[in-house]
Amino acid sequence: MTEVATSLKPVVKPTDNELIAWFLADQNPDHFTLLYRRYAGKVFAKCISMLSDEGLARDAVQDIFIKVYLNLARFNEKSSFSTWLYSITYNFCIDLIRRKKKIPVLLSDDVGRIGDEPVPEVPDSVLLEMKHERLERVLAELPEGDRIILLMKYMDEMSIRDIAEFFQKTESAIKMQIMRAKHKAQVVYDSIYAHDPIES
Amino acid sequence: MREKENSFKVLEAKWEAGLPPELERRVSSQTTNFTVFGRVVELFMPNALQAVAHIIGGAADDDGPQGVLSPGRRPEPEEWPDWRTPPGKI
Repeated sequence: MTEVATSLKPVVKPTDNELIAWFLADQNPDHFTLLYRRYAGKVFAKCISMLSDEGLARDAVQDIFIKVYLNLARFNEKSSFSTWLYSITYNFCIDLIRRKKKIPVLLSDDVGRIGDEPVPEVPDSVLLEMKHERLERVLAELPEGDRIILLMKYMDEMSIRDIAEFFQKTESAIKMQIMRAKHKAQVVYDSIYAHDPIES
Repeated sequence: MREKENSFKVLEAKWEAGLPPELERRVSSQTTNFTVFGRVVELFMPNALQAVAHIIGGAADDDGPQGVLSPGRRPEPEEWPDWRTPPGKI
């Protein structure tokens, strides 16, 4: 009878915050594994897009989740868990690129610097409706800063306010940076696919 | 009418599919190690600290865990040393 009652109980998927609270209460690694299963793919996708190397991305995912595991008690629920996790991911990859290339990644300093030259407005649909193989190629050609900001806006669908908070810039500076990044993407697209501008 | 797919999402799904399954085992074995280490520290650290305190001359608190160290004894007033110089000895 109890078994039947149990089997009839609707299966409720615990929220991220519930899983975190349970994990912090009993330190049961199973709760953390559930969080891992929920987000590992997305974190891996971000690492691949930023590092362009599968081996590095694999190691990065492992290190990011260990970092999250050790710092979970510091998660304060001000933002959603996914936003917190993705900002750890972006910061981790930016540091990795910096150390690997031994050059400063054009990010916080670059984002928000508004030039004088006007940038033509590129509609979102140009990027959103691009064939994914072409988009992958275009993203790979873009500077890290532009790539990251486009991923945040269109892949993670982060709000302008959250992106501005991440870069510690004003919302208008971020809007301008997105406009510039879209324009650069359009220029890269035109240079690569000049011979075949219309996707077949 | 079918809405056009966001190509960023399509690309994300393609990259997500490449996540190696053995990564979960690696992460989970590492987190399990951290948990075990944390529990060991939690279990033995208080006693270890008490032992160190004892070695350097401290006394155990009466309210602390029993049976590890003998509680300290405060000397009776008659045992207190009198450092005053006796009269006529200057």
